[in-house]
Amino acid sequence: MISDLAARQTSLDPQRSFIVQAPAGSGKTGLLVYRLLTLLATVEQPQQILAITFTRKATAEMRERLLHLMQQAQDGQSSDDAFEQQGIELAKKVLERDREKNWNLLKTPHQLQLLTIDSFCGRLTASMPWLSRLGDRSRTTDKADSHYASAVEALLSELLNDDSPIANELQTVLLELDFNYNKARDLFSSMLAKRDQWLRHLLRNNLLKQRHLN
Amino acid sequence: MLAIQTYTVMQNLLDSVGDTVISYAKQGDKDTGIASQASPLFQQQAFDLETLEQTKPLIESSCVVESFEDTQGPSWPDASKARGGSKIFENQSNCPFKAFVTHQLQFQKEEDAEFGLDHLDRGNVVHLLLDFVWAKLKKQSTLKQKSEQEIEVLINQVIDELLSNKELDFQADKIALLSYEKPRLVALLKEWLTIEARRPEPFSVIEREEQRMGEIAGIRFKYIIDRVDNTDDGRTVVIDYKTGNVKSSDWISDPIKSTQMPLYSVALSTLRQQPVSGIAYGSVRKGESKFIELSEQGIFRKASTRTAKEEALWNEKSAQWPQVFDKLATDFLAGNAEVKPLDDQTCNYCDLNSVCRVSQLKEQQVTQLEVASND
Repeated sequence: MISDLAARQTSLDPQRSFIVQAPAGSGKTGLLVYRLLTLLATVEQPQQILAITFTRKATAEMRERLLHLMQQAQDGQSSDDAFEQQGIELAKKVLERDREKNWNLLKTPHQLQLLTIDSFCGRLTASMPWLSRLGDRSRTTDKADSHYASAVEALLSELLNDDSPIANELQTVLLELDFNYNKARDLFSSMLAKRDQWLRHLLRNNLLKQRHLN
Repeated sequence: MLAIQTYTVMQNLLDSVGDTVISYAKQGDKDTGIASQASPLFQQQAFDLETLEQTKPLIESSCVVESFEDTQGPSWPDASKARGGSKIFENQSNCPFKAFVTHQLQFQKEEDAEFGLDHLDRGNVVHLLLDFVWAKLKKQSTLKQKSEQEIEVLINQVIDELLSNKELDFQADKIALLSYEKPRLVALLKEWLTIEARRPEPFSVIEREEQRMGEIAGIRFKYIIDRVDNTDDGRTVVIDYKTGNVKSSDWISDPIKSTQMPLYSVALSTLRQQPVSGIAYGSVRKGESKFIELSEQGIFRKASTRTAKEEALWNEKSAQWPQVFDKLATDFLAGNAEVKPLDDQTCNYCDLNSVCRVSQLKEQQVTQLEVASND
């Protein structure tokens, strides 16, 4: 018997919002899958539900578990484990809805909006190409070096811009680096890769805001 | 809905044939570690599942591979037509294949233009500034007579001269950027001139940037020595300014890793019919400027037991150099194109690895060694 079963059941109520904090392996993803199933049994279209994760692995896991439960329900299987049986029951209701609305979820599972936060943002920008100034669908990359390099080249070219508000500061920094442009490139690129660590300090000091006002 | 249509189309296709072969890659997504599944479009099909463990193309296991060793290129019919200048010797010494591909096949790497001054530009700037400085000073004694202030005036003068001079083949953008570097250059030149003033044996600069033609075993090459000094004792030394990382051990290694200075010394001795007394890099680098030299003692540093040993090494090595360069020239002209890098570092700074396939060669050697040790 799971000691926090009551809490788990409560959190499936689709009318209310919950924050679930628990250690790894305690069943957060499972709970989320059940909640998805609960919701699926009530909507007009699967696309009305959006589930966001941080990693592609989590997305793939959730998709697999959800489809597995639906398949079990489809095949008429049952489980001795009460919690798992609950999942199969929830999936049965989804299958009823599926037939009623003609979704064919098991055959076309990509109707489920189970996305990483990156691909969700990508879809948003792709749906607003004019506003986002992005023609193609954007994708995240693990190899950002070339993008850092072009950002650094743009920064360095400020040295030759007479109206640049940062040209003087840039000269000071480069003098410190012995005007070694390769060294500067390496340094700035490595800083860009770690911008999550220092950018907020700049924001805190309002430096970026000042620049935008100029 | 489109998805349903896809399903219907696929179902129609499947219904219209007897036997169906469907394949998909079993290997899972590297990021998620979850093995891929057949598309849900096929999940209702009855499969005779069969997993093929296939890592190599089938064709590779069905034919015999012959190996062929090719280390010889065509020889040069006319030595005087060999192009590439003094670089021929350096490449031949570091890896015969590199010399063959660079000078016979004329392979060249395309450099991407980047913002700002690159290491070549930086070298050229220091070069020209010191050329201007010694055009004015001419001798160590003139330098030593000047006060610190006077030296600073002189340095500022040559920098301004350089910025307005056409000798520096820079575009306007680079000149503008270079003008920001003035504080760096003043400090660097001051540091360097302190090193020059400290040399124990007084000297005069007798030659700057003299352009000459040399010849070794029929190969003709152009060379420009940055500077030749005569000491008051009548000893001649060859100097080249470097802003990058250099070391004297690269002259002593066998084969010679850095042939430029040994070649200058051979060429100049031949020209003057008398031996030179030493070679030196003027290593001009912020905070670590110094002469990196191999020479008779007492020229760059005060005589001691240590410099006596180095003098012996200089005498030994410089006596071998004429034969060493003769051999390099002969090998090159004969078309020797063996992939034989001097050391691992040679390959780190070489961009021909896709042509010479040195990594495959090394793998083979390791396998052969393993086979040998197993026997």
